[in-house]
Amino acid sequence: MRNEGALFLPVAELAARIKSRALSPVDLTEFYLQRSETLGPRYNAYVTLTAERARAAAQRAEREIVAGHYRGPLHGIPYAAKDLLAVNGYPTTWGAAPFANQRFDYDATVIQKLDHAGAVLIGKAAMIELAGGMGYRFASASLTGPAKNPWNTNCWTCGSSSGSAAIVAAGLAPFAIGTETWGSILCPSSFCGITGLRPTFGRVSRWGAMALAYSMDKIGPLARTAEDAALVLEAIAGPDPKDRSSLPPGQAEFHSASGPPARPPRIGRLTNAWQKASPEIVAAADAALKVLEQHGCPIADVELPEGPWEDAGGVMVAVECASAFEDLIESGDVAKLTDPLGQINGYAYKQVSAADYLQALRVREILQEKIDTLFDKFDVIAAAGQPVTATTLETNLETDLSFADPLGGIGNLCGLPAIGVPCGFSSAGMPMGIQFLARVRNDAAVIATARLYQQHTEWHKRRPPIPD
Amino acid sequence: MGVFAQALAPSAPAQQPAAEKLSAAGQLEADAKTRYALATYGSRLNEAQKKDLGRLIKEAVEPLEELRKYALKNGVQPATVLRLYPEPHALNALGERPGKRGGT
Repeated sequence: MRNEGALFLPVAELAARIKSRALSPVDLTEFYLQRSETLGPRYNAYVTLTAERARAAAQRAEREIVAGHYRGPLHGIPYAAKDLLAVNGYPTTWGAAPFANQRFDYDATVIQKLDHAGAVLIGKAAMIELAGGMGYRFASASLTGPAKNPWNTNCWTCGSSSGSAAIVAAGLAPFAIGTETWGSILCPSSFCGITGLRPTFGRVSRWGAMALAYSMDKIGPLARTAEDAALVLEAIAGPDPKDRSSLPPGQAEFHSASGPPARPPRIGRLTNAWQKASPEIVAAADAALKVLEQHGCPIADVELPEGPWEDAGGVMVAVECASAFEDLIESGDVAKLTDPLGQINGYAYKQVSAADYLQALRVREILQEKIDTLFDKFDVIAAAGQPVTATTLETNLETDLSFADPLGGIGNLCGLPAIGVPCGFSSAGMPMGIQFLARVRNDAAVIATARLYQQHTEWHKRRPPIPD
Repeated sequence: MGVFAQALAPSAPAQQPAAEKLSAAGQLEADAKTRYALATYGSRLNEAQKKDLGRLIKEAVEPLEELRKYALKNGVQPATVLRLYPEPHALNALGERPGKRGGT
């Protein structure tokens, strides 16, 4: 492969070339591997490259395709996976020094499913240590250092799926797998100018993934387009008896629609998602909604219900994280984490009572009903992806990137699907995004809305300046 | 909320000093929790970390107070489920797990 432009093609276009045998999976994999080896360190994007496994998978894909056994649109497509997903024989560090030498002798369900689809794993993506579960004060809270934003390497990618976002934005792989408990797919996609999909809770099995908060963790793709995200979701969704929270057969599967939705999505424009957002971002999100309105989407203002939703979400993350990492906290090995906040926050988490945790779970029950009523009137609700653009690598996140996020709290507490897509660039040249959320199990609505937007805009086709 | 929501993507409400927002009971609760945490884990921490831990615990009590204020009727159940184990498909017609014998 000599054409670097092809490296930024969406999965759907790469797949068409592979299917027609105009593009070799072996060549494509080799090119992304070389690019990842050369450019990955510039962004602190990877923990490990899985070159041997990738080459074997690419050769297998090529043999199968030549033999006429084409598995589908991910066949022969390279990708990266966040380093909290178990991959047989390779280090799975959870981004954290205490687990730097951890290995598993099995593949996570998501990895198995992508293998089955013929996708080619080229590396384990860098991440915030323990997916940020213990809290963090600085972008450097990672075994591999701060992930650097391809649009400006003095800026951060956001977390915790930091490497996954950097990899896709820099054209080191066409898609990557990330996870979100609260913001860890949507924020990196917004900061890095890519598309991030947070599926409905339970649609994608977490078996073989590091647990942070059992009742809130989700796995989803970061990709170039909503269409690509849908293709990946189709491959990784499905019931799994090994994940206690997996949706049952008939609900967990996802089938990406190739045509337009039956009717333009009805969109609720959230007026209280962010207390204070950059005027540039507000204008970009408004302009994005205008585009959708011009293409037939009815749009009306809507407010999130008021209540202690973020408080409930925070309590749940804290308590479930304290349980998930009980050994780490009690042994004192949390002191080996990089971030000063992460080193001590677990001790604070452990002071929450069972009664308070149950109160949070009961508040969740109420919230589920309240938020669901919004979707009687709207197919999706929309807001700016983040209220700010990417922060600098040195920013103290605890003091200088501290703002209310009721939409993130509500969406994650209730397991709602969401997608983030780029919708412009700031005067400083940094990406800005918009997010869409829908009723549980209606992942198709957020994808359809984002696809419609991307069919009529070019923001997702912008590439960062990457020096040779 | 800071201590909790610093997790993941670092979004959390803008802070004012937690001690100023806590009720008298909340302040007592924070002090007691801090004493307990320092008694349990303090030997691992330097003085700056001990002070920081006290702050984090105070900041964590404020959202708990907000959460407790939210009125809930007795019948509102927690939104978590106990999935019965084993699943029906794992059992044979006699209700036994294949390969497992009952008591001797």
